[in-house]
Amino acid sequence: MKFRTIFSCTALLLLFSCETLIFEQEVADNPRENFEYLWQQCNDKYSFFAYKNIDWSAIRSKYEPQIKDKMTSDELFKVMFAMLNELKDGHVNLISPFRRSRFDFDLLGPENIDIRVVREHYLKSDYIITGPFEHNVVGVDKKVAYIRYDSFEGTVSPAHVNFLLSYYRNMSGLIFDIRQNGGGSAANVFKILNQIVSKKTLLYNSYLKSGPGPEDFEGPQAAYADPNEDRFKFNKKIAVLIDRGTFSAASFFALAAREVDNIVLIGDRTGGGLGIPNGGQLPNGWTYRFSISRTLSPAGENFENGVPPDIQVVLTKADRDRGVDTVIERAIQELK
Amino acid sequence: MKSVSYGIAIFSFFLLARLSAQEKSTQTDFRYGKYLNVAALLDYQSSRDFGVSPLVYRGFHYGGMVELGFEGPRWDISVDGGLGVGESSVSKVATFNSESTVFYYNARVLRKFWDKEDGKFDFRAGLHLGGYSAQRVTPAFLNAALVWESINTLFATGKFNWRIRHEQSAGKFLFIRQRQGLRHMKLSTQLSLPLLNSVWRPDYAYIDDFSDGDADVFANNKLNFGGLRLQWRSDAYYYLLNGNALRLTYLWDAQRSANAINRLELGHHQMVLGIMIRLN
Repeated sequence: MKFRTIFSCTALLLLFSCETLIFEQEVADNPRENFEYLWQQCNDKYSFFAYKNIDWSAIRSKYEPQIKDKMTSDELFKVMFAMLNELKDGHVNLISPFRRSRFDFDLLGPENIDIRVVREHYLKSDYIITGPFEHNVVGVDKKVAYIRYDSFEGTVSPAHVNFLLSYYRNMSGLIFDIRQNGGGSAANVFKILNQIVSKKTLLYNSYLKSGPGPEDFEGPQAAYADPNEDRFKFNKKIAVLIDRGTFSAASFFALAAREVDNIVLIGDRTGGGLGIPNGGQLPNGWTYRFSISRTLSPAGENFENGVPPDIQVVLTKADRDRGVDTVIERAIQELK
Repeated sequence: MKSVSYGIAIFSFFLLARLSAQEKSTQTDFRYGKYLNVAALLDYQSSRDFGVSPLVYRGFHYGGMVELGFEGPRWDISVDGGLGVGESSVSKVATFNSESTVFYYNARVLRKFWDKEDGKFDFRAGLHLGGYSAQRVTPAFLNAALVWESINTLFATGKFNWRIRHEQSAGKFLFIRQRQGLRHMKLSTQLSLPLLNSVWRPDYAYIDDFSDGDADVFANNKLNFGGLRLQWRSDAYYYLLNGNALRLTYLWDAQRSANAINRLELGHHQMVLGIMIRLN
C-alpha cells in the first residue's frame, strides 16, 4: 500500500512538470500581434527588399495605424493583404479560411495570348496530346511545330520530350508556348532542358536568405542542364513564347532558356517569381508565404521583375479579331 | 514486408522461449543482471517551431522501445531505441494537423557513488547520450510542410535508487495475478542535465532551395550547438519470481534549440510500460 501511494504521488507530481522552463509564453492572438508577427517575418526573411527598393519600415508605419484592437477578421485581412501587396510579388500570399490574398502579376502587361485563337487556328481539332503537352504543325507551309505547355504542375518525362523532338525532326523549328503558364514544379525545367541542351550548361545561380539584412544571402547554388545520353538530338531553333502570365517555374524556364544557344524568347516580359516561396503560420492560424531566395542569371542579372524577351511582340487587337496570334506568327517567321 | 514479418516472428519466438525458460529460475538476487526490455510507449508531445509557426502543436504518439542493459551492484549500462508515430494539432481558425514519426535512442553509463543499508538506497551518476530524430509533415506550412530534425545531447546524469522488498500476498498488480511470496521492487528517479546539446534542423531560410530541380529536404539543415535540454525520468520496477521484471517509466524530456530565429521548443511526457527479460 505504501509503495503504491508513493508511486502515485510521484507520478502525479512529475506529470505536471513545468513545461514553462523550456517553452516561451504563447504569442497573443489579437489583431496587433498578428500584424506585427507577419511584418516581422517578412522583415527577417523576404528576399527582394533591396532589389525592389522597398522601405519595409515605412510600409509598417503606413498600415499599422489601421490596426484596431476591436477590428473584425475581415478588416484585419484587408489591411494585411494591402501591406503584402506592396511587395508586388506573385509568390506572396495570405490564406485564411475565408480569403486568399494574391498579387496579379499577369496584369502588369498586356494579355499576350487568346487561348480560343490558339485552339481554333493553331492547335486546331487534330492536335496531339503527349503528357502535359498539346501540339500540332502550324504555318502556311507546315514547317514549324507548335507545342503548348500551360502548366509546370504536370509531370514531364524525358520520353515526352524525346517524342516531340523526334516527331518534329523534319520541321524547320519548334515553338514552345509557355504564355500564361503560372508555374509548378521547377524539376520540370530540367526534365525538358536536359533533352534539349548539347552540353552541360549553367542556367542560373540561386541564393538563399541567410540573415535578417536585406543582402544576407548564402550561395550560389548553381543550376545546370545536363544533356541526357538518350536524348533525341534536335539542333534546330526553338522559339519560347512568354508573357506576363509566365510565372514562377515557367519564369525559371525562361531565365534558363536564355543560356541555351538554339532558343530564342519571343513575346512580352515574364511575371517574375524567381524566388522560392516558403510557408508559415500566424498566431491566429492564417497561413502566409513569400520569397526567401533570389535567382540571378549566370551574368549576375536579377530578373525578378520579369525575364525580358529577345524579341518583343505584343498580340494586337486587330490580329486577335481575325484569328491570328501575332506572337506565334512572329515566331514562325523567326524559325523559317 | 515479408522480411519484417519473419523478423517479428523470430523475435516473438525468442521472447517466448526466453520467458518459459525462466519459469524455474534459480537466481537468488533478481535485482541485478543483464536484461532485454521490450516496451510500449505513449508520448504526449508539445512542439513549437518558430521557423514556421508561433503555435504549439500538441498530440499523442504511440510506439515501442527496445532496450538492452546491464544493472549491477556498481554499474548501470544501457542502450535503447524506439519509434513513435502520431499526430499533433492546434485549433485556431481551423484545426491544423501535423503528423510525425519520431526515433528515440539513448545510451547510458552510470557508476555507483553512494549506497546505504546494503544497497537499499544508492546513488549513481554518469553520462547519458540522448537522441531524438523526427520527420514532421504539416500541410499548413506549404513549401515548409516537411521537415527532418535531430536533437542529440550529451548529459551528465544522476540516478537515485530505492530498493524495496515485501511479502506479497496473493492478489493482482497491474492486472497480473500475483502468487504469494517475497517480492523485490525498485523505484528510481534520474535527472539528466545537458553538457553538450546539438540540434540539426532547418537553417535560417527554413526550406531547401529547390530551384535547381532537386528537392532535398536535408539540404538546408544545419548543425547548431547550444540551447537547453532537460530530461527527468522515474521508473518503477516490479520483479517477477522468474527473474523478469515489469517496468513502468514516466519520462519528461524538454528541449529548446539555440537558433533564435527558427527556435524549436519540444516537450515530451512519456509513459513506457515494458517487460525486462532477464538474459542471465
